[in-house]
Amino acid sequence: MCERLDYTKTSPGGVKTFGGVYSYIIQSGLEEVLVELVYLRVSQINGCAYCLDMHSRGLIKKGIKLEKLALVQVWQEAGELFSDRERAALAWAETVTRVAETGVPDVEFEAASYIFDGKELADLTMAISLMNAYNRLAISFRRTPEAVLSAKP
Amino acid sequence: MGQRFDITQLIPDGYKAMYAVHTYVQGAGLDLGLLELVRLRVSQTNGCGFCVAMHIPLARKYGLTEHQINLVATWKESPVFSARERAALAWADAVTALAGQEVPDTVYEQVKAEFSHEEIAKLTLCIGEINTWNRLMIASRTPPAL
Repeated sequence: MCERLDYTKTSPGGVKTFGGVYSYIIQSGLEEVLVELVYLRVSQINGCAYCLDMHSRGLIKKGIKLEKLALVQVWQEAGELFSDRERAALAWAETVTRVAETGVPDVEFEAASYIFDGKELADLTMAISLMNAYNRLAISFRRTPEAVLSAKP
Repeated sequence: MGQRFDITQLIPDGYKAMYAVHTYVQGAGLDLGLLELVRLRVSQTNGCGFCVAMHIPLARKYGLTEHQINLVATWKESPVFSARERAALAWADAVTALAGQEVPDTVYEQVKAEFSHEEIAKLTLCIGEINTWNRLMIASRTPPAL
């Protein structure tokens, strides 16, 4: 499973523009942990090793407990471990990521709107959509996860 | 089917940041007709009405024929696309589908036979870009500008 090409070197200008969207999200006002949880969940659905590694580390750095991190994939069955805001964000992340199957139905929009105001929901949708692009870059080119690099002798 | 929210109004800075990605891809040196072909195909796959309505006239503007535009949805069965266009479409399909599936070596070999490394990176940035717009427009239920 070797890296196919390093797009950060092949197309640095393009990667930088996506970085602009990433920076926008950081200063958007959404809670850091909430955004990081969304990034992790989207990366799980798409199957991005590089991104799972990065955002698991990000969550640990931001203070999330291992017990909670382990249950992100099955948050719906994790009772009160996830807050109402986190649950609403994760549900919205799932339906928007699986857009080709779901079409993002009204019932999901109503549930998300109950918790988030218009700007928050727009920011959250931008974050989810951005991670879908990042996942596609890393998966397409088999970007090597940090864990694999640091395990090498 | 009213619009749910308008990202250009609610988060103009986020929209601007995303538009910078678009500006980069447009100026990256790839054929603009090829980019429109890919954007149209990905928008069909994701089911984005706003985006399909936008990219059909753009495809026409940048030189795609009516036959090509009509047959994008069934490109595998259609003899109106060049080897380079077919490689780009196969790559766009694989990179868009995902959901736990790999982007297979066979498709990568096909795209590598037609495009340089730099072109593949830029093409993939374009596919990432349109996947982002598709999600934004579908989630916000932005109506097609007809």
